[in-house]
Amino acid sequence: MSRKVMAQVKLQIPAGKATPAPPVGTALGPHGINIMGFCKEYNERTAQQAGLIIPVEITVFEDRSFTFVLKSPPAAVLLKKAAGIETASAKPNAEIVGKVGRDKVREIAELKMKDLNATSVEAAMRMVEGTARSMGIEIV
Amino acid sequence: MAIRVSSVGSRTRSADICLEVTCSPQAVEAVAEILRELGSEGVGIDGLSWPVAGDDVAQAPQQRGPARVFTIVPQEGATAILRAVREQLRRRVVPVFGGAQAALREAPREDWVENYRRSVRPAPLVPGIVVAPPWASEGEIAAAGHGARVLWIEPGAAFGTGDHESTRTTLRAGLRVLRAGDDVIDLGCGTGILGAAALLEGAGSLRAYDLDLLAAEAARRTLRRNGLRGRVRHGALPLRARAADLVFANLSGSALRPLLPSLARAVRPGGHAVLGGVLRADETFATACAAAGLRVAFRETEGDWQALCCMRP
Repeated sequence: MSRKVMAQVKLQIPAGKATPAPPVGTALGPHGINIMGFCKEYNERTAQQAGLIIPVEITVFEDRSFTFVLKSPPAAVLLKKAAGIETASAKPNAEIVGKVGRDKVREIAELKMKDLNATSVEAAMRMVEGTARSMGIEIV
Repeated sequence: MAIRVSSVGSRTRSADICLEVTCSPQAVEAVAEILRELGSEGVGIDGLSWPVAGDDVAQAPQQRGPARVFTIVPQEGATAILRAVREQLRRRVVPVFGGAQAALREAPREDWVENYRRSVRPAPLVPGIVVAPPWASEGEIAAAGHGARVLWIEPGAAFGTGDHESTRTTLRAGLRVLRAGDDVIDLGCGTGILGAAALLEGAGSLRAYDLDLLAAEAARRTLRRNGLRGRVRHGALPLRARAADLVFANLSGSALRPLLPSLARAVRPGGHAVLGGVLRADETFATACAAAGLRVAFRETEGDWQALCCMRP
């Protein structure tokens, strides 16, 4: 009765720099969509955010048409910014490299809720906290 | 953690090396960050699902399996990068999110743009008109419709290459009421296919509008390529647009509903609005048209879709 979803692919790529080369081509090419069209539109819409990773969720339909939705920068990037660190800890269990308040975690979780496929803010917070732990960022 | 290193076999220039990590959906952000820290310029993720906007979409089933995060790594040093990823997964991902497996595989290096272009073929649009990409051969065009006129459309990001039912039903309905010299508006023009076809069929003038800049540019290209003249504007239908003999609006039921009053105003009394992209199951749409002062004259249907040809009394 309606348009059927054939594939859903997420990409985390630098704003304004999508090209049909890998990984965009590798991810979308097999689904037969107009990659050039995607790249052009993605770059157009993210041009103002150069320097950031802007995730994008692409849904491909049975007739090879597609839609996409731009997302906020990855949780890990937002956590690094919140903690004021450049790189994550290489030994997150043993070496804490930064701290982020619970209120900040909630803020990131609220921002990222849809992106994280979470059903509640609490569930999204657990995922953000997990990401923070994996980076050696302590939640205080 | 089990690390599975698949053999990459004899590598050739025709393949990229793809490093992929299979992990729980909750771990994808952390895994993607590890790949970025190790030099990845972009990652792809599949195995996730999310709801899609649109009243005409059959939602994908919720994914319950693992997700796959992948990136392309240089052939030289791929194994070293895999080792580093494996180490980071062990330290940062496994303790928090559970098992994650990393592997290398060959990803055929293909020209996906060319593949897509090559896959677009001339096809009948309505009786007497074949829609064709600029690279189509004469033989292909003849096979699609011998003796038919050709409407050249370059497949791109904009909607409207003639391969969707809503484009065909809207056009068929419009051409049934189009008279030579008619002034036509195409709202949400996409590639400009509807307006261009109307001009081919004798319309006197065209005003096309699209909120999407790329679509407006595509529509201008379509007119130019087909040697047709019309005005294309990037933006919404102006409030005081001069009423036209025929208005095309191939959008969607939900997008059309709030626009119905302004669409009605854009049609001269006795003229027609063809409203496309409406699901056949949408039984209340005709009532909404009537409430806006548009009387449904007839419908064109194909598959799940209908286009309603409405007259303004």
